[in-house]
Amino acid sequence: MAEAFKCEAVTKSFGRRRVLDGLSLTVEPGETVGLLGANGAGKTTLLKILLGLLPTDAGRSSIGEEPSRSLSAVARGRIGYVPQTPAQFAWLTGRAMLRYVGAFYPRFDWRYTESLIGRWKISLRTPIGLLSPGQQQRLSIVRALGARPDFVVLDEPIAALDPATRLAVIEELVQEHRVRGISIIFSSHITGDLERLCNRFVVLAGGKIALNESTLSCRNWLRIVVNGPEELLRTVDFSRYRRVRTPRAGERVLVALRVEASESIAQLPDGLSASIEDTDVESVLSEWMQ
Amino acid sequence: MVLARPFILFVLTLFYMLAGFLTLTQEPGRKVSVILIMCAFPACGVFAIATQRVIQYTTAAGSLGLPRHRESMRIGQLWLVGIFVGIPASIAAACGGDPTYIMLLLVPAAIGVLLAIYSRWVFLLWVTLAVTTRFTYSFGAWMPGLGNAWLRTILVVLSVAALYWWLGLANRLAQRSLNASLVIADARHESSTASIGEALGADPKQYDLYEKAYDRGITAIVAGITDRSITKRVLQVGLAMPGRTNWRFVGVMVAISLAALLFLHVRNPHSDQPAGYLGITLLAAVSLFGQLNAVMQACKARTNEAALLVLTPRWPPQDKVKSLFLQIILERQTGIWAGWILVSIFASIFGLVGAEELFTSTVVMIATGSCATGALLLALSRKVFKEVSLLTIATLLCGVAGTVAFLFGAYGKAQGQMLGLGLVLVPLAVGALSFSIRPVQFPVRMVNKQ
Repeated sequence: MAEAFKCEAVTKSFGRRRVLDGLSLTVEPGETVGLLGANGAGKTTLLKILLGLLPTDAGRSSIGEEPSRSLSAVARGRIGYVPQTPAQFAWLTGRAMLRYVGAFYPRFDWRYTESLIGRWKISLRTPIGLLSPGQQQRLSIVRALGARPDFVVLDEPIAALDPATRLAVIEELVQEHRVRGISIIFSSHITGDLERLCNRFVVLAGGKIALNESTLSCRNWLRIVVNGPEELLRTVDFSRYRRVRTPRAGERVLVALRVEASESIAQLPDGLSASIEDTDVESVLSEWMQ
Repeated sequence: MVLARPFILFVLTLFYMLAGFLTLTQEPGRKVSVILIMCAFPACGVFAIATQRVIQYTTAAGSLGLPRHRESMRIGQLWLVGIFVGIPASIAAACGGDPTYIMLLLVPAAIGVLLAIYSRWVFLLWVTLAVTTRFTYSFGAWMPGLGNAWLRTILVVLSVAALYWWLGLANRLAQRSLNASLVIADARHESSTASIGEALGADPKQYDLYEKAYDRGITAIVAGITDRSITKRVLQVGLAMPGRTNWRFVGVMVAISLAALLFLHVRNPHSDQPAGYLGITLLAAVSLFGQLNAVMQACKARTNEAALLVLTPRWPPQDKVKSLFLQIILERQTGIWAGWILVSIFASIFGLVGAEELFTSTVVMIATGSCATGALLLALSRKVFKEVSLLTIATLLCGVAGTVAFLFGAYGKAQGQMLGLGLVLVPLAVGALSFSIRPVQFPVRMVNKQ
């Protein structure tokens, strides 16, 4: 079976600024991938390239078996996209927008859509531009899911949602994934939510993939902060660690396997002090975003 | 609400101090005139600003459901009439002014109101008059007309009518903002039409009717989405583009233009109306550019919506999208062309314009249509949208050069005219060629932006 999403050696620049630099990524059918990265890391650009909304300078991308830039109607019918800006079709009411967009899909699932609207308490009579950002985001997600897509791309869709609704959205996606085996790429800064949904994390930095690791592996990591004289730190071999960062002279931040943490600390030479700083996935992953 | 702004208060104080000084320094016979003239300007300005504020605050207050806001607004408006019309009028009367002249102080107030609401029309009228009369009539030239008692009476009656209408503005706006109020009420999770109506003290049947009409409109539009294609109306709704031609507006514009030409003809049968006709052509040409620019602006502003549409299974192929854009481009121009042609035909029939003016105007309109259409087609067929495109500028310059060559440089010479016509049509030809061979840029991609 072909990959759900695939891009190979994709390069993209805006003016002189290279946003993606020979990036390759594959998302298998039924896989849920959390896309992370600092602001401006190229997450939205990558998603747009995967969807065929932006041309690449070099490299290629595909959805299913079809090139992203020339998707057939069938392939397009299998895509659900939630863009970063939630206020789409701001001049229409929620109901009108769903009827309008729904008409572009031969098999838009109205029953499912109404069930989501009811559960997420979305006001359909209000022009979308007048809705709160949270309501707009809910509506945007409903629009994308109403088409019952197989490939879902969500670009920071939950930033404006309250915790309860965020959880409800994530649970809905988890349910859709479990029941229908949909593939999801979910870009967000809220790692906790991604952890609930995604079975893999991809971190973008410097136009490349800085980390591509399963959620399970990431849960087994923790951060160790080592302090000591810079001269001494330079003599230590940190190559066994997954990540080594130098925030300032005389300090190293390491990402180590949870089970090896105590042993790692014990093996450090005298004159260096080490402490386990953060143990949650968000803190660990943030090491690749800096 | 108007006087609370320190800047406005400062300017008004300064103005009235100056008025007071001038009044005191004048001989008794001229005091009233000075008072009236000096108080006319602030009255006009204050009423224009106040009208904007009434619109703004009534809509907001109506949406928020503030109690008795309409009554408060009307009281505020009456105060303004009292302060800026009543008090100066009383002072002028105390100075022994003629009441029929003093009542003319209502006119600037009414003009202020009309300026605020129909500024577009006033501007249009002003431009038309400025062009058609070649700036020969100064304000002062009209002033002696005020000596006519009938004219004064008409002006006062019209001004009273305008101000009466203005006093009811808040009420009418509140009715109009009912939908917005319902929207806010809905956002408060009022569960039914009845509860919304109850919460607002509105007739729920009104909202029902509105909603049904809206639903019917959407039903008609989505009927244009099929497996094979979509209609241009679907694309226009998706990108919030201007829709159908407003033929009523076109009719009104034609009537106003003809009335203006006729008026100028009656005033001076030999010199005014050709310039007036050229002025009308100029306005039509500017509108033509504006209409097509609005299409491009809609494409630029709705890239997110466009992205969602192209990812849907029923989004039509490139050729069809191109054809939709061409239909929209034609539709956007139809009303203006029709209006201008009608004015030209009637003006020719009634002998209001000569062959030379008709010829000149036709060239200007063709050049504008060519440049506006060509620029839009070029923009739509580029890889990315650039605010400043050398190719577009070059082609537009060709159109301008062609017009100049056609009308002036080579007037009367067949070869020169052919060259001019060729240059005039260059933008359209280049745009059409580019649009036909290149993929349409949809969604629009802004340069250096995601």
